[in-house]
Amino acid sequence: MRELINSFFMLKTEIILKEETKKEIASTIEWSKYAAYISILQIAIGLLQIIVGLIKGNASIFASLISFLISSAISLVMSINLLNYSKLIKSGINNHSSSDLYQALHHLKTYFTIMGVLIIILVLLGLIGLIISIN
Amino acid sequence: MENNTSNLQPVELNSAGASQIKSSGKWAKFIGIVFVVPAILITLLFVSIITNTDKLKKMITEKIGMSELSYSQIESFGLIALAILYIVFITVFVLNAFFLIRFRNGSENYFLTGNEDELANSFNNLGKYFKISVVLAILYAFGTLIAVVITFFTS
Repeated sequence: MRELINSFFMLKTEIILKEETKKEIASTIEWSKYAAYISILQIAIGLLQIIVGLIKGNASIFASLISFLISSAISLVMSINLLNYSKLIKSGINNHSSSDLYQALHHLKTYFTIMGVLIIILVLLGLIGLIISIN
Repeated sequence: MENNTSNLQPVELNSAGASQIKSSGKWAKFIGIVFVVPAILITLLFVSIITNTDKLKKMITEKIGMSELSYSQIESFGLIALAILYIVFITVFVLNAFFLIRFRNGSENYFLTGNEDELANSFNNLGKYFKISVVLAILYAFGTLIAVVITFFTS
Protein backbone atom coordinates (compact mmCIF):
# COMPACT_ATOMS: atom_id res chain seq x y z
CA MET A 1 0.00 0.00 0.00
CA ARG A 2 2.83 2.34 0.97
CA GLU A 3 4.57 1.56 -2.32
CA LEU A 4 1.42 2.35 -4.28
CA ILE A 5 0.99 5.66 -2.48
CA ASN A 6 4.66 6.48 -3.03
CA SER A 7 4.58 5.68 -6.75
CA PHE A 8 1.43 7.77 -7.19
CA PHE A 9 3.05 10.60 -5.24
CA MET A 10 6.24 10.39 -7.29
CA LEU A 11 4.39 10.67 -10.58
CA LYS A 12 2.47 13.71 -9.45
CA THR A 13 5.29 15.71 -7.91
CA GLU A 14 8.32 17.49 -9.25
CA ILE A 15 11.52 16.39 -7.55
CA ILE A 16 14.51 18.62 -6.92
CA LEU A 17 17.54 16.48 -7.66
CA LYS A 18 20.31 16.23 -5.09
CA GLU A 19 23.91 17.08 -5.98
CA GLU A 20 24.95 13.41 -5.88
CA THR A 21 22.17 12.47 -8.32
CA LYS A 22 23.08 15.34 -10.67
CA LYS A 23 26.71 14.23 -10.56
CA GLU A 24 25.81 10.64 -11.47
CA ILE A 25 23.48 11.79 -14.27
CA ALA A 26 26.23 14.10 -15.57
CA SER A 27 28.69 11.16 -15.53
CA THR A 28 26.75 9.62 -18.44
CA ILE A 29 27.23 12.71 -20.66
CA GLU A 30 30.72 12.00 -21.99
CA TRP A 31 30.38 8.24 -22.49
CA SER A 32 27.02 8.44 -24.24
CA LYS A 33 28.58 11.02 -26.58
CA TYR A 34 31.56 8.74 -27.28
CA ALA A 35 29.19 5.81 -27.91
CA ALA A 36 27.32 7.92 -30.48
CA TYR A 37 30.54 9.06 -32.22
CA ILE A 38 31.86 5.51 -32.45
CA SER A 39 28.56 4.33 -33.97
CA ILE A 40 28.97 7.02 -36.63
CA LEU A 41 32.60 5.90 -37.16
CA GLN A 42 31.32 2.33 -37.64
CA ILE A 43 28.97 3.57 -40.36
CA ALA A 44 31.96 5.19 -42.10
CA ILE A 45 33.95 1.94 -41.84
CA GLY A 46 30.93 0.06 -43.24
CA LEU A 47 30.86 2.46 -46.18
CA LEU A 48 34.58 1.83 -46.73
CA GLN A 49 33.84 -1.90 -46.70
CA ILE A 50 31.20 -1.40 -49.41
CA ILE A 51 33.58 0.70 -51.52
CA VAL A 52 36.32 -1.97 -51.21
CA GLY A 53 33.72 -4.59 -52.18
CA LEU A 54 32.82 -2.56 -55.28
CA ILE A 55 36.48 -2.13 -56.27
CA LYS A 56 37.17 -5.85 -55.80
CA GLY A 57 34.02 -6.82 -57.71
CA ASN A 58 32.37 -8.67 -54.82
CA ALA A 59 29.56 -10.89 -56.19
CA SER A 60 27.17 -10.22 -53.29
CA ILE A 61 27.70 -6.45 -53.28
CA PHE A 62 23.99 -5.65 -53.85
CA ALA A 63 22.90 -7.64 -50.77
CA SER A 64 25.74 -6.04 -48.76
CA LEU A 65 24.63 -2.58 -49.89
CA ILE A 66 21.01 -3.16 -48.84
CA SER A 67 22.13 -4.57 -45.48
CA PHE A 68 24.51 -1.61 -45.01
CA LEU A 69 21.78 0.95 -45.79
CA ILE A 70 19.33 -0.60 -43.31
CA SER A 71 21.86 -1.04 -40.49
CA SER A 72 23.34 2.44 -41.08
CA ALA A 73 19.91 4.09 -40.94
CA ILE A 74 19.14 2.36 -37.62
CA SER A 75 22.62 3.13 -36.23
CA LEU A 76 22.31 6.75 -37.27
CA VAL A 77 18.93 7.19 -35.58
CA MET A 78 20.27 5.58 -32.39
CA SER A 79 23.42 7.75 -32.49
CA ILE A 80 21.38 10.92 -32.98
CA ASN A 81 19.25 10.00 -29.97
CA LEU A 82 22.36 9.39 -27.86
CA LEU A 83 23.92 12.67 -28.98
CA ASN A 84 20.71 14.53 -28.17
CA TYR A 85 20.56 12.81 -24.78
CA SER A 86 24.13 13.86 -24.06
CA LYS A 87 23.59 17.45 -25.22
CA LEU A 88 20.25 17.99 -23.48
CA ILE A 89 21.17 16.33 -20.18
CA LYS A 90 24.19 18.66 -20.01
CA SER A 91 22.03 21.65 -20.80
CA GLY A 92 19.33 20.49 -18.35
CA ILE A 93 21.81 20.27 -15.48
CA ASN A 94 23.81 23.40 -16.32
CA ASN A 95 20.75 25.57 -17.06
CA HIS A 96 18.47 23.98 -14.41
CA SER A 97 15.94 23.23 -17.12
CA SER A 98 13.49 20.43 -16.35
CA SER A 99 12.25 20.72 -19.94
CA ASP A 100 15.73 19.86 -21.29
CA LEU A 101 16.02 17.10 -18.72
CA TYR A 102 12.71 15.66 -19.92
CA GLN A 103 13.79 15.91 -23.58
CA ALA A 104 17.08 14.17 -22.76
CA LEU A 105 15.31 11.33 -20.95
CA HIS A 106 12.89 11.05 -23.85
CA HIS A 107 15.84 10.54 -26.23
CA LEU A 108 17.30 7.94 -23.85
CA LYS A 109 13.96 6.11 -23.85
CA THR A 110 13.84 6.23 -27.69
CA TYR A 111 17.39 4.82 -27.84
CA PHE A 112 16.47 1.86 -25.61
CA THR A 113 13.13 1.36 -27.37
CA ILE A 114 14.81 1.11 -30.81
CA MET A 115 17.37 -1.33 -29.41
CA GLY A 116 14.65 -3.43 -27.75
CA VAL A 117 12.44 -3.53 -30.87
CA LEU A 118 15.49 -4.42 -32.97
CA ILE A 119 16.29 -7.32 -30.63
CA ILE A 120 12.66 -8.55 -30.84
CA ILE A 121 12.82 -8.43 -34.68
CA LEU A 122 16.19 -10.27 -34.72
CA VAL A 123 14.92 -12.96 -32.34
CA LEU A 124 11.77 -13.40 -34.46
CA LEU A 125 13.83 -13.61 -37.67
CA GLY A 126 16.12 -16.15 -35.98
CA LEU A 127 13.13 -18.25 -34.91
CA ILE A 128 11.63 -18.10 -38.43
CA GLY A 129 14.99 -19.16 -39.87
CA LEU A 130 15.21 -22.02 -37.37
CA ILE A 131 11.68 -23.23 -38.21
CA ILE A 132 12.40 -23.05 -41.96
CA SER A 133 15.71 -24.93 -41.56
CA ILE A 134 14.01 -27.68 -39.48
CA ASN A 135 11.27 -28.12 -42.10
CA MET B 1 34.20 27.25 -12.59
CA GLU B 2 30.98 28.69 -13.92
CA ASN B 3 29.59 25.20 -14.40
CA ASN B 4 30.44 24.17 -10.83
CA THR B 5 28.59 27.19 -9.46
CA SER B 6 25.55 26.69 -11.64
CA ASN B 7 25.44 22.97 -10.80
CA LEU B 8 24.75 23.85 -7.18
CA GLN B 9 21.39 25.34 -8.15
CA PRO B 10 18.34 23.07 -8.09
CA VAL B 11 17.32 20.94 -11.07
CA GLU B 12 13.81 19.58 -11.15
CA LEU B 13 12.79 16.19 -12.48
CA ASN B 14 9.15 16.49 -13.44
CA SER B 15 6.60 13.68 -13.63
CA ALA B 16 6.98 13.43 -17.43
CA GLY B 17 10.75 13.01 -17.06
CA ALA B 18 10.22 10.40 -14.35
CA SER B 19 7.93 8.39 -16.64
CA GLN B 20 10.65 8.47 -19.34
CA ILE B 21 13.12 6.96 -16.85
CA LYS B 22 10.56 4.25 -15.99
CA SER B 23 10.05 3.41 -19.64
CA SER B 24 13.82 3.42 -20.36
CA GLY B 25 14.32 1.12 -17.39
CA LYS B 26 11.77 -1.41 -18.68
CA TRP B 27 13.44 -1.62 -22.09
CA ALA B 28 16.91 -1.70 -20.49
CA LYS B 29 15.93 -4.68 -18.34
CA PHE B 30 14.51 -6.50 -21.36
CA ILE B 31 17.73 -5.87 -23.33
CA GLY B 32 19.78 -6.95 -20.31
CA ILE B 33 17.89 -10.24 -20.03
CA VAL B 34 18.29 -10.87 -23.77
CA PHE B 35 22.08 -10.29 -23.41
CA VAL B 36 22.22 -13.23 -21.00
CA VAL B 37 21.03 -15.64 -23.77
CA PRO B 38 24.14 -15.28 -26.03
CA ALA B 39 26.30 -15.49 -22.90
CA ILE B 40 24.73 -18.89 -22.10
CA LEU B 41 25.05 -20.04 -25.74
CA ILE B 42 28.72 -19.01 -25.89
CA THR B 43 29.36 -20.88 -22.63
CA LEU B 44 27.69 -24.02 -24.01
CA LEU B 45 29.74 -23.74 -27.21
CA PHE B 46 32.97 -23.28 -25.25
CA VAL B 47 32.22 -26.22 -22.96
CA SER B 48 31.32 -28.44 -25.93
CA ILE B 49 34.62 -27.54 -27.67
CA ILE B 50 36.70 -28.15 -24.54
CA THR B 51 35.02 -31.50 -23.83
CA ASN B 52 35.28 -32.69 -27.44
CA THR B 53 38.90 -31.93 -28.27
CA ASP B 54 39.44 -35.51 -29.53
CA LYS B 55 36.59 -35.19 -32.04
CA LEU B 56 37.90 -31.77 -33.03
CA LYS B 57 41.39 -33.20 -33.56
CA LYS B 58 39.98 -36.02 -35.70
CA MET B 59 37.92 -33.60 -37.75
CA ILE B 60 40.80 -31.19 -38.37
CA THR B 61 43.40 -33.86 -39.15
CA GLU B 62 41.13 -36.02 -41.34
CA LYS B 63 38.86 -33.55 -43.10
CA ILE B 64 41.19 -30.57 -43.43
CA GLY B 65 44.24 -32.76 -43.91
CA MET B 66 46.44 -31.21 -41.22
CA SER B 67 49.15 -33.52 -39.86
CA GLU B 68 48.87 -34.63 -36.21
CA LEU B 69 52.23 -33.01 -35.46
CA SER B 70 51.05 -29.63 -36.79
CA TYR B 71 47.79 -30.01 -34.91
CA SER B 72 49.53 -30.74 -31.60
CA GLN B 73 51.78 -27.71 -32.17
CA ILE B 74 48.84 -25.32 -32.54
CA GLU B 75 46.48 -27.09 -30.11
CA SER B 76 47.58 -25.37 -26.91
CA PHE B 77 47.82 -21.97 -28.61
CA GLY B 78 44.34 -22.47 -30.11
CA LEU B 79 42.82 -23.40 -26.77
CA ILE B 80 44.40 -20.40 -25.05
CA ALA B 81 43.15 -18.07 -27.82
CA LEU B 82 39.71 -19.64 -27.54
CA ALA B 83 39.69 -19.20 -23.76
CA ILE B 84 40.71 -15.52 -24.10
CA LEU B 85 37.99 -14.93 -26.70
CA TYR B 86 35.48 -16.68 -24.47
CA ILE B 87 36.43 -14.55 -21.45
CA VAL B 88 36.20 -11.32 -23.51
CA PHE B 89 32.80 -12.16 -24.99
CA ILE B 90 31.31 -13.46 -21.76
CA THR B 91 32.59 -10.43 -19.82
CA VAL B 92 31.08 -8.01 -22.33
CA PHE B 93 27.68 -9.70 -22.46
CA VAL B 94 27.40 -10.37 -18.72
CA LEU B 95 28.58 -6.90 -17.70
CA ASN B 96 26.25 -5.21 -20.20
CA ALA B 97 23.34 -7.28 -18.90
CA PHE B 98 24.36 -6.64 -15.28
CA PHE B 99 24.55 -2.85 -15.64
CA LEU B 100 21.34 -2.58 -17.67
CA ILE B 101 19.40 -4.67 -15.14
CA ARG B 102 20.86 -2.64 -12.28
CA PHE B 103 19.87 0.58 -14.07
CA ARG B 104 16.28 -0.66 -14.16
CA ASN B 105 16.34 -1.99 -10.57
CA GLY B 106 17.77 1.28 -9.22
CA SER B 107 15.17 3.43 -10.95
CA GLU B 108 12.39 1.04 -9.93
CA ASN B 109 13.52 1.16 -6.29
CA TYR B 110 13.58 4.94 -6.47
CA PHE B 111 9.99 5.08 -7.72
CA LEU B 112 8.90 2.64 -5.02
CA THR B 113 10.74 4.07 -2.04
CA GLY B 114 11.50 7.67 -3.05
CA ASN B 115 15.14 7.17 -1.98
CA GLU B 116 17.10 9.41 -4.34
CA ASP B 117 20.34 7.48 -3.75
CA GLU B 118 18.74 4.68 -5.75
CA LEU B 119 18.27 7.05 -8.70
CA ALA B 120 21.90 8.19 -8.44
CA ASN B 121 23.01 4.57 -8.32
CA SER B 122 20.80 3.79 -11.31
CA PHE B 123 22.50 6.45 -13.46
CA ASN B 124 25.90 5.31 -12.22
CA ASN B 125 25.12 1.90 -13.72
CA LEU B 126 23.89 3.50 -16.94
CA GLY B 127 27.24 5.33 -17.21
CA LYS B 128 29.10 2.03 -16.75
CA TYR B 129 26.94 0.43 -19.45
CA PHE B 130 27.92 3.23 -21.86
CA LYS B 131 31.61 2.73 -21.01
CA ILE B 132 31.45 -1.02 -21.77
CA SER B 133 29.50 -0.29 -24.98
CA VAL B 134 32.18 2.17 -26.12
CA VAL B 135 34.97 -0.38 -25.51
CA LEU B 136 33.02 -3.05 -27.39
CA ALA B 137 32.26 -0.67 -30.27
CA ILE B 138 35.96 0.32 -30.55
CA LEU B 139 36.99 -3.36 -30.68
CA TYR B 140 34.34 -4.08 -33.31
CA ALA B 141 35.29 -1.04 -35.42
CA PHE B 142 38.98 -1.97 -35.19
CA GLY B 143 38.26 -5.57 -36.22
CA THR B 144 36.15 -4.42 -39.17
CA LEU B 145 38.85 -1.98 -40.27
CA ILE B 146 41.49 -4.74 -40.21
CA ALA B 147 39.15 -6.99 -42.24
CA VAL B 148 38.65 -4.20 -44.81
CA VAL B 149 42.41 -3.60 -45.11
CA ILE B 150 43.10 -7.35 -45.47
CA THR B 151 40.37 -7.65 -48.15
CA PHE B 152 41.76 -4.67 -50.02
CA PHE B 153 45.36 -5.92 -50.14
CA THR B 154 44.85 -9.67 -50.54
CA SER B 155 41.83 -10.64 -52.62
